Amino acid sequence: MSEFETIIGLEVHVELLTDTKLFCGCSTAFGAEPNTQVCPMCLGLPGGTQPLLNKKAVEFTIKAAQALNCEIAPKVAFDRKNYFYADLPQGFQISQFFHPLGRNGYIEFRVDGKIKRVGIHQVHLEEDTGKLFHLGDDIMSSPFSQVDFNRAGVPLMEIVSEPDIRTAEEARLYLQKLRSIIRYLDISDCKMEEGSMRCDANISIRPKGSSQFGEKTELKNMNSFRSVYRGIAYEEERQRHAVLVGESILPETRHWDEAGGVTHAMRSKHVSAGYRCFPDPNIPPYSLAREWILEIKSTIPELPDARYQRFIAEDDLADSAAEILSGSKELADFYDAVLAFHNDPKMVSNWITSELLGHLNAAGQDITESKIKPEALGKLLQSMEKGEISGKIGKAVFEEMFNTGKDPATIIKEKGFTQISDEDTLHELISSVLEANPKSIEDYHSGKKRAMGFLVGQIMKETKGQANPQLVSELLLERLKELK
Amino acid sequence: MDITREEIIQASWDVRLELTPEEMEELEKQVMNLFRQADFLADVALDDLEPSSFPLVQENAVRDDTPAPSLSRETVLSNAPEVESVYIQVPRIVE
Repeated sequence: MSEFETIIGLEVHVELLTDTKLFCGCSTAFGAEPNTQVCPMCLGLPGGTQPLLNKKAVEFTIKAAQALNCEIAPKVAFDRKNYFYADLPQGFQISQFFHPLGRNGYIEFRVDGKIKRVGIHQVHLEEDTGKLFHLGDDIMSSPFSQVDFNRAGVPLMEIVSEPDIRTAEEARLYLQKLRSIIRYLDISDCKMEEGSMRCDANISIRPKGSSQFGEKTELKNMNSFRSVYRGIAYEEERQRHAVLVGESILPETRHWDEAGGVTHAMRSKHVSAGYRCFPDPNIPPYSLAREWILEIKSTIPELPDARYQRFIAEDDLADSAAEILSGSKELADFYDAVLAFHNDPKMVSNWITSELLGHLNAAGQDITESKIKPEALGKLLQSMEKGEISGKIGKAVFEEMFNTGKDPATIIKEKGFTQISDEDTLHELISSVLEANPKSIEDYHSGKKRAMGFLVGQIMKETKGQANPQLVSELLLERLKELK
Repeated sequence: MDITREEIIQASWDVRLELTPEEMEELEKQVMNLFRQADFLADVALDDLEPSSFPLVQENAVRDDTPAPSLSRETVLSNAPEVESVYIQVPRIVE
């Protein structure tokens, strides 16, 4: 059987977090009543209104392009991409065909411990389309569709990768890294489920070692990281099978069917090939001042890679912990904030990656929804470090903090969780436990050191884990020596 | 520069115009005539010039990201050929 390799390029669209549309002042607020955030400009009604460029959208795109290591164009220019579709009221999309804002960048991410670099062909700014709702099950069977134009004209940034991606897993990792960077920049919320981040994949296969590209298909409708992975994995297998049985791959747009786990042909690429792009006569170019580009660059925060490196170099964290913590800006900020209250990186990272993330995942929340704030977690870890409470009690306090958002000191006081370190009290406890377990004393003295552990366990049980375990061991050891 | 019959067919499809063969022939002649009149441009040396889509305006304006009022929904829907509830309804999309 001949061996193939898969060539994947991703086109990712993200909606920018501006308050208004790209060329008019209509609001971009998500979830508004259908067809209430539209005007003659974004509806493409004839006459009157001229497009006026939203400076913030340009700023956000330049910020992203620089964070993705792109060269920045000297001017902002827009072109019309002409096609007919029900969600496109003007009959053309205003996009940047000839002069994208950013070119020749790259993203790096780790695959099986190795760094993989994927080129960024271009980053450009364009208008989003309206939103279509298909009656019935889906677009393939629907007799009618309905349109909400609120989204038409919302600033959309498109990031086009080079065809450097080779597997479905690499595609998923690329997308995750891209989302992480864009979220660090705080220019889009990148929610695939809500459609503020969308991903189309160009997929082709070729015999391994060949330098020519095979015919490609474009895959659409992948609405989660999981469906990007599944859709691409299915499509590469479908193409492999087709080639092996002697069928040809047609250049077409295919639709990922999430429920069925298959891709369907949607439309042929031949007909839609000619977009007849030309410079938009209503939008003269806008020159970019070098100073402004540099000023935007200076607002780029420490990005995930730099943070990952810092967590390893300065905090001596393990690769996996650094990867998890740096993956989201909110999480990394949370970690840094806890350190300000309890400067023990390993302990802080352990508690965040195991306890906090474990609880958040189980509750279906993310870090921004956590009732535990960095200061409170820092204080909890301090209490454990100082020996005021044991690790076991610490977890119980954490549980309560997670559910109620209360301060650890309050919980410890309310629940009477304070660790028993009073020697008189402990001596009393030790006496009663020894009295109840004469066999263990005998065992200990005849060399069975495990009996010691059993006795400590009994005392901890008596005190519901509140006895200071170290002190208990010391005092118990003294008493056992005396008894010999 | 010449135009072919295929290009006329493609262009008429692109703008959704249904043309008879006679009309196409007529159009072909007219377009060729236009091209002939512009032929002299091919002799002008343009190599050192940047394409200027906007010979008159040198600089564009931009606006701040401040919301402005939109149209009322009644106004928006009043112009649509078919309306269903709060949406504009369109025919089936997939061929």
